[in-house]
Amino acid sequence: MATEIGQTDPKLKSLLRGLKLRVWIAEVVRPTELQITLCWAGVIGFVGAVASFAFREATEAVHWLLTQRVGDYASTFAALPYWRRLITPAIGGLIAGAIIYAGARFRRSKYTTDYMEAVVVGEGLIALRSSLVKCTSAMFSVASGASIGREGPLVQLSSLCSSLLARWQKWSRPRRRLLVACGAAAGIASAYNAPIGGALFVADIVLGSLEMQIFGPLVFASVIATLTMQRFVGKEPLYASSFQLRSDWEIVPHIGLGILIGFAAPLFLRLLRVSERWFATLPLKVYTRMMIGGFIVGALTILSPQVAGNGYSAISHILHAQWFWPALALILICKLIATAATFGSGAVGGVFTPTLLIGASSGFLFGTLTRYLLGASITSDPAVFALVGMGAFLAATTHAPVMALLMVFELTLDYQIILPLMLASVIAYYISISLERRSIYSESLKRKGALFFDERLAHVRVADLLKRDPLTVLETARFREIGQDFITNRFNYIYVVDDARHFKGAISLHDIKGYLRDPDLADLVIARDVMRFDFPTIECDTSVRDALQRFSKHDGERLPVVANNESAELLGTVSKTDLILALAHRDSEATEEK
Amino acid sequence: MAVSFHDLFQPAQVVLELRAKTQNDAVREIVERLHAAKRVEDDDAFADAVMEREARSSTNTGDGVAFPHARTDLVEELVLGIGRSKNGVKFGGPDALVHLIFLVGVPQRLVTDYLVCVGTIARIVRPKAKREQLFNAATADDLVDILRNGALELQ
Repeated sequence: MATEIGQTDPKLKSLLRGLKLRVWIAEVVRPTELQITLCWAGVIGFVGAVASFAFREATEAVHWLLTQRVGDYASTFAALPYWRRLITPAIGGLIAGAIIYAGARFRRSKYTTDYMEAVVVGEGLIALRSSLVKCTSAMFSVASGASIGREGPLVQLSSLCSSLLARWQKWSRPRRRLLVACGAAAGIASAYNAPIGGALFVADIVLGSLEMQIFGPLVFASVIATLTMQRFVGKEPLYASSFQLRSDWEIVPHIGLGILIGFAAPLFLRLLRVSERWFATLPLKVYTRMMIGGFIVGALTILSPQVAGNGYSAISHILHAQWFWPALALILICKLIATAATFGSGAVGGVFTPTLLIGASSGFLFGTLTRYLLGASITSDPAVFALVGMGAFLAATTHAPVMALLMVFELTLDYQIILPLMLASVIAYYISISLERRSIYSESLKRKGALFFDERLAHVRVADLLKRDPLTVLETARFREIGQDFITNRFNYIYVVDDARHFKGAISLHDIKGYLRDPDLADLVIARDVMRFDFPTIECDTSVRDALQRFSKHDGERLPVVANNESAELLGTVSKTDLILALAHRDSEATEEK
Repeated sequence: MAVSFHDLFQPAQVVLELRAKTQNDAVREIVERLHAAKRVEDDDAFADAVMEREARSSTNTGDGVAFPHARTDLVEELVLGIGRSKNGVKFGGPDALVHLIFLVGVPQRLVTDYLVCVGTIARIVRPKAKREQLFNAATADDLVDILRNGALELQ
């Protein structure tokens, strides 16, 4: 007889130790792809908030360069002499336009710069250079006092970061789209210190879906982004306020406000569109147009410095100071013109804060009128109407009432106003949508997206979601090779193929457990001895829905995709999460098209 | 665990002294015994399957023991045939002659049972003293008792 079986060699020992750890992780921690996606969403939240903060700081620096003053734009503009008020936005517009003009050659990139387009109809990829051009241009517009919101470029930057991450990580299309959406949510959450609003804005407007598969990561991204941003700028809500309603009957004038705004919002949307068309007819280069836009804003700041900038400080003033109504009416009119001029001239940025200011000042004026008519005993502070007006106007222009009322709630953290806010937002939404089918955001999407809808996404097949080059071993692969593969990859299954790459079966990490106590087996066993012969496969032309069915009898996250049943050539793998995401996206698109 | 080693080791499935001198003959001799014990219907096909697997990679451990096997639906449950050769059989891979052959048949649906079965037997025969006991066992019943006791000791 031969001698005692030799001592297990040290290499094999460490391999077995590694495998034991791997099995422990797989069985105890069990990270599913969705959980990993959640973690990435958190990373994106952090990165998005840092990018947002950097953008804010850069904007403040440019603002100082242009005005040599620090502070909110309304007071810095008020402190400037008239001629500088006139030219500062014009200079900003000129520079911002020149940047766009110079960056136009990046336009040919095959990716979009519009995060909404990237998420809803596109590949989930955002063009790097043209996005940076847009953001830099927006930075000069914002810093020079144009009537435009910071949130546009913030969201842009933050979704750009997540798109870069997606490209680097080589995620599948549905996941790229989801994570770019997470970037957008992070941008909004950090711009407004509003995590609920950020998650809901993206879920409601961009994705049109509240499926948990999608909403969960959005929540993760916006919470982390908010926490990060609060580290930099503090925890105060943007427009902290606390008001009391005087009587239950006060709800009646708020309904009136909702109705009024429901009719006014479509007019505002039309004003923006008319202005855009008018500027487009001017035979001028983009920088000249934006300079003219800047001049108009500058001229208006001479009348009322509150017009300058996104309107943040003006809203704070409306909520915390007593206003003489003609002064506010002047601001409202000037702000409308300034916003239309800024947008029409082609400046890049967000409409969110200007919209809020218009809603707030309309609400305040309405409140003043109600107070005059009904008396101070029944009606509360006109500032309450300003808040409700903000929400209602937002709901009516974005066509997303849930997001609007939550956003206003988060911006003010004033729970008292929630009842009139809810009612007015919903009423304004219903009226607005019956008059104007397009929201402030659907504009660009409808223009660019319509072409893609049917052909690309209506018929997503498994082949579109394929992840190529899965980890495989030959039928004769030995235990050492298989064990090493399990340690260096986080898959729980390794696919077994023959020489022609035809799928034969799969080895489960859980089945391998039997090896771990018996090092003797290491040299005896080959892949074929322990693989599962009846492992489910998916043919590449299967529909997403049918493919998902295949997962019902399988506890794994991925299944192999084969060419067809006879040859069973292994093409790649498809993950359950991707299928669910693809379905969720598609369902949201289906409802949108109705 | 679904594998009952008491039932797995059966005296009727032991060839106490193999006549075969070659790997192929040894496998066929053990498979014939399994056929006689009504554990395998199609003995030729089963032996072919075992030899086909053996051709891909030898199961000779180099310690005088080999574990030829096949995962095939020619068997309905886990079956084990045992062959002993005092003179030794030349068995693929390493040069060392093989004195104990544990031939395993596993249906395709059972994934882990093969590992459990081979792993346990490998541990039973790991001590040199155990292998010598098996080598010297006078009857098939004695040999099976040694194995059954060995399995109990491991538990």
